[in-house]
Amino acid sequence: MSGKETGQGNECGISRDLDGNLAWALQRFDRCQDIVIDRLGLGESLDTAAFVLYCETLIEESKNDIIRSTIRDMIDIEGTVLDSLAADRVIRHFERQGPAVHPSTIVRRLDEAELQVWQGCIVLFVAGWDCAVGFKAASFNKRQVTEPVNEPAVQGPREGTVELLGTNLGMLRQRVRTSRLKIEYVTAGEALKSKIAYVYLEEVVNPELLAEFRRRIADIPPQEIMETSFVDDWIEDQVWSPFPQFRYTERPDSATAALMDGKILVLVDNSPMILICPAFLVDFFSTSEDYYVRTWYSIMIRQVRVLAFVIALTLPSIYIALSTFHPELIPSVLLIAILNSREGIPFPAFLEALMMEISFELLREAGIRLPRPVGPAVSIVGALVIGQAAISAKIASPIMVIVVALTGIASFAIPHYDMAMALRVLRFPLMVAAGTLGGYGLMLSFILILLHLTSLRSLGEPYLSSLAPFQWRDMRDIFVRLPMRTLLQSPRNRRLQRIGPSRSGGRDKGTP
Amino acid sequence: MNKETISAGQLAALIISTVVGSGIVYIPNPLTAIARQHAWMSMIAAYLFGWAVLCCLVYMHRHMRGEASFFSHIRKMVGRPLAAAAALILICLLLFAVPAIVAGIANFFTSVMMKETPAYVFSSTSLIVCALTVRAGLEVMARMFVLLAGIMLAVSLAVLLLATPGYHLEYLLPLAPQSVKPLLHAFLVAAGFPFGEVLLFCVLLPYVNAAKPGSLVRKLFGSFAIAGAMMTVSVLCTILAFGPAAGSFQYSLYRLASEIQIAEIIQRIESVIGITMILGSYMKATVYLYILNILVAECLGLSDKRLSVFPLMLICIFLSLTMFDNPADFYTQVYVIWPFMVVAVGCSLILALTLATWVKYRNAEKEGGA
Repeated sequence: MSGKETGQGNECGISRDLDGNLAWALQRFDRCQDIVIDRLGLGESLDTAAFVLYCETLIEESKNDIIRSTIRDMIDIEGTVLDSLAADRVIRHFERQGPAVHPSTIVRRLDEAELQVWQGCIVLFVAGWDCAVGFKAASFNKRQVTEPVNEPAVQGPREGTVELLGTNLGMLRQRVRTSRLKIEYVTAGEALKSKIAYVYLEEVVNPELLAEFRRRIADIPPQEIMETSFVDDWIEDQVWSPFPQFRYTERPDSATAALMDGKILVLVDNSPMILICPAFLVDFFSTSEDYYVRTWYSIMIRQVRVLAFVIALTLPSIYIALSTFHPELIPSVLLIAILNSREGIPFPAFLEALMMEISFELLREAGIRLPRPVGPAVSIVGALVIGQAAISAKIASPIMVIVVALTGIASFAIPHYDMAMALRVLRFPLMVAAGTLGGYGLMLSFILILLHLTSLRSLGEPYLSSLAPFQWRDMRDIFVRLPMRTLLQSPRNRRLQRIGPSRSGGRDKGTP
Repeated sequence: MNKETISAGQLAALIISTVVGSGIVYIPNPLTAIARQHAWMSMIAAYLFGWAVLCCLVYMHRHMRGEASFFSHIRKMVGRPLAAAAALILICLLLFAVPAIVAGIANFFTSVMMKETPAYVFSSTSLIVCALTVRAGLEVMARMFVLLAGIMLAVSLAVLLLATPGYHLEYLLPLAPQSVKPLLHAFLVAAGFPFGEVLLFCVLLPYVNAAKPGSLVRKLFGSFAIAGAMMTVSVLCTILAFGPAAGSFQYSLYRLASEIQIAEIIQRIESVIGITMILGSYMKATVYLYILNILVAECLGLSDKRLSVFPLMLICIFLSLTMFDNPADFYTQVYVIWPFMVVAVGCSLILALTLATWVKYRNAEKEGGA
């Protein structure tokens, strides 16, 4: 029998009296009509000597005769006949862990037995035995491994994570074939009992970082964790910051790259999202595909993203500041064009921009929430009909429509959705600042945002790492991406080098 | 606030941001008004003066090993009452400097960019941002200013480069001045503002966590040299562009930027000088507010140094609104009285303290040797 023992007996331990256990089960699973309790007769007289307990909605249909086949196996192994297979023989078989076809777990406590039921096991109680044995027969309906919808890539692997923790961890193990890849579990919540796994690459991850992470995740177990983002909320430094302090991915290859960079991954059962922590601002400018395409293209695309970041954050507010407060700063020809297009518009630029931005946000939200077949209709009505009509009705100027559309497109070009959301949130206060104090207000807001970013920390590390404190070395892989040959010669994470044959050398140069 | 430390490189960025800071927009005008086309020579001389002040600071810092702060060092050197007096002088200097810097921002905006907005809007908002930064701590400040100083230098250099077509080398002639007096006058102004002001860094030096003392000295003087070069170049470029007229444009670098016109596309870029000016003034005001806050907190013996930030901010806001009656008054106080105060009071103080340190340690060495 290939099984393992868990738990120690205490006051809620399984009793030797089968009727007591049966009574417990009947009372515990009262009104849980998907629970099946089958009595089994053993021995010569076929007296009730055992019962099985399982949840029929969680187990695979073909496996509900697992007990029967186990007992048949036992008869073969023990070289006996059914008549003489009494309870004591069965117990002896399990306790000595004889060979069996089906993997099983021996539990000694009733609450553990219950957990086994919820994990899709068939649990067998035998008279006169203070243990129970659970056979794995789970069948959870889950999505197939497909290409992640949120992070498509033209080049590179196309598999994405699913809602099953085991499958996701397996995909990581497939890529990192070393025992240095450590996976540790935490269970959280009384009702949900979510299984949370955190994964790191030993000798690559900074031990102080790992200690800090462990300290924070220790707060999690009493909470009901439904999704990976709940963990995010519990362990992040600043809950009120608009900026994401951790990164999500659904791509095992991105997750593996993060592991190699010394990050810690968090995976939660029933969620496909992998949390990568800590994340720094510069991480949000890169995608895994950057490393798969040719260098020049990758350099260009990084620059485009920086541009997109700036446009998504500032374009409407800069337009407001310039057109309202500092028209003298716009080159003359452009100024005339803007003035022409704004002629007859009854609103100040600030209100006009606010209206357009809000309607854009409305459209976007409506487009996401609507049933898929209706979605395109909204964008057609919104973008074409309303947009065109607003311009002809002189409610908005064509320039403003361009500004808002460009801002929207730029925010879609940011590869990480969380960061795009942060910029969308910040865009509005910036517009207010530009509308009240012009360029000066804008400048003050930028300084405040920068101040916030500089004081922000992700898992105790400065959020602006690589930029402030400035690390010249890291510039190879932020706004540009040098050829892989150069990057791999001396990886960004210096700890990797320590793992060479000598395993000597000091810690990597800490940031001041 | 625990004792925070910054690296030598970050201190270098702080020095660049304070010396270049607001000075790069302000200083070319008074200097060229006084010394005409020779202002750049006064600038170099003033840089050398600042260099000497910095030498005093480094000397004192070397004998400050183990001391938690500048204040405790001078208390050891000259005794508590004199140390308190010295700190008071520095506090007074700073209580002029911080309001003057934000009043400068307010003046600039009310006279050039946003004429209808009252001055208090600018001085109060900018000081609030400064105070928030000071509360965030020295480490955050230093990390942030490394970025901002880089942006500021890059933008200023770009403007000076783009203005090249408008430069006239002949404006530098004649080289021989009518007399040496205007040169000396301009030297005094520049020696006070901005170079002499580096004396205030005596308070920040104990916060530097330099693994090697050599690297601190190298970066200190290196950054000061960069700042000096930047200021001299900006004065030089202003003269090259405007010649004799340079002294009559109040924000000459701003005017310089507005003259730039390349192929109908790159024009009206004076706003970037506005950005430089806000950034520079903000950084300078923040560093000075931080120093002021440390001095006040130490004199009062506050356990949490952040407590005094907001009261000081409020005092500075009121001072900035009441100290200067009009722009002409601002001009007199900032370009006539302030440089004199920095050189005569501040730098003398530093010199005296350096001498005190020297005497003390010479005696200690003699006793140790005997």
